[in-house]
Amino acid sequence: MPKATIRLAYRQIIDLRSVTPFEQKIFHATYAEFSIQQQSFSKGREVYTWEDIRTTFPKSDPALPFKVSFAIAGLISSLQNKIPELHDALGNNNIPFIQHRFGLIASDTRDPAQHAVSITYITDEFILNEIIGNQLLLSEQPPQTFQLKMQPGLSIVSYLPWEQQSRQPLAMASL
Amino acid sequence: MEQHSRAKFLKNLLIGATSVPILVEACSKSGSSSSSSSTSTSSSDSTYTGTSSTSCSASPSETAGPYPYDLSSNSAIFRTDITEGKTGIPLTLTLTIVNSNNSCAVISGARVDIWHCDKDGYYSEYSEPGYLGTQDNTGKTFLRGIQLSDTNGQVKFTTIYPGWYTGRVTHIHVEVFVNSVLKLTTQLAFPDSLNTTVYKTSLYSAHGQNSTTNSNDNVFSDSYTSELLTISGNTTDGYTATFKVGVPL
Repeated sequence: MPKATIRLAYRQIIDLRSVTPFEQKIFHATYAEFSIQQQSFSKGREVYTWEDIRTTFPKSDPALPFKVSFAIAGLISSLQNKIPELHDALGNNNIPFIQHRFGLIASDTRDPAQHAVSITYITDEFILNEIIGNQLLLSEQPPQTFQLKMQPGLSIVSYLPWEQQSRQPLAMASL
Repeated sequence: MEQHSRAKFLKNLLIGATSVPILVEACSKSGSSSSSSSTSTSSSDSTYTGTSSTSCSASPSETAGPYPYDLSSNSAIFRTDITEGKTGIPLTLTLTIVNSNNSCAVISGARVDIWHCDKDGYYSEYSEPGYLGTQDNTGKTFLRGIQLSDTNGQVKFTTIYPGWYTGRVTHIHVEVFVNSVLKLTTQLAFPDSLNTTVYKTSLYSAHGQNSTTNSNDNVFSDSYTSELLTISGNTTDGYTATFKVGVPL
């Protein structure tokens, strides 16, 4: 019997050291947009970093990251709902996500090297069949399965025990 | 999820908005400075003449230079139609960006960001209270858009007539960036009588009429006559609005 249905979240951190074309596009687009949109808050004052901006202008969080995230909507669409850089045990890059969250970690209008953002991809529900060593044995469409290694940036963000789900119809029926 | 206080946000926004000189139509001193007037062009059509001046229309064009990255490929936000399925009376908005420091020469390549609330008074991005209760619109982008001005200095948006929320009169937010530098933050106003007309229609009437008008709105009260859209149309076919935005370069 499966253990649970779960949702996964995978957080990709992108900074100047990021190497893939996708990451580099994200880096440049968000840095340019940060440099533009932060002006709505700083308005010429001597605040340059995201830390200073959100401390000085509390309204900038979450408004500024939200506005910066506009710049990557097209790039996110280009992923066709596959989480980049997350591979199953066979090396396939086809773990689907249904939503994403953009985060502005740090930035500085004077120095792009300080710029760092995160994108957290959240999956739909998977069936967690087993945990084999450090790998999750998952199903999207049983009986087909795939294995995914637990790794930095990957987390289970919802967990519903299988027993509870199988009891739900009975509970509903008894109402 | 954390609830963001729109009241607090708006308060800050207003502080921000009013801390920047409102330069819209700064170039129209020699032109019209009239408040809105309404004339009937048919039994149902209305035309409201705002404050745009035509005195600069023959001025030479100026370019704002290349945009730093290719936002034009990002149809998610770089778009003419910002409706995203939101219902309301159609509104076509054409803004002309001109240099108020140079005889109102049109500015091409300026980046214009606009945003406004939906027919019920809710903004995308925020989780906020309203007359229909709290709506969580975080991560949504409806009724927001960016365009670059064309060789005539124009940007065009298709959207809906905004609704209203407690404490503010109907408005559209506008930011103009030239060479990636924020040059103007302002808001555009609608004639009070037109707001009343629109908010009587079936799509909007559930919210009733707004007690805040342009003259007692804390953003527009001392300046709305220079921020009024020129607008015509009717509640059935929608409205067409224009405005000349003066930016000092």
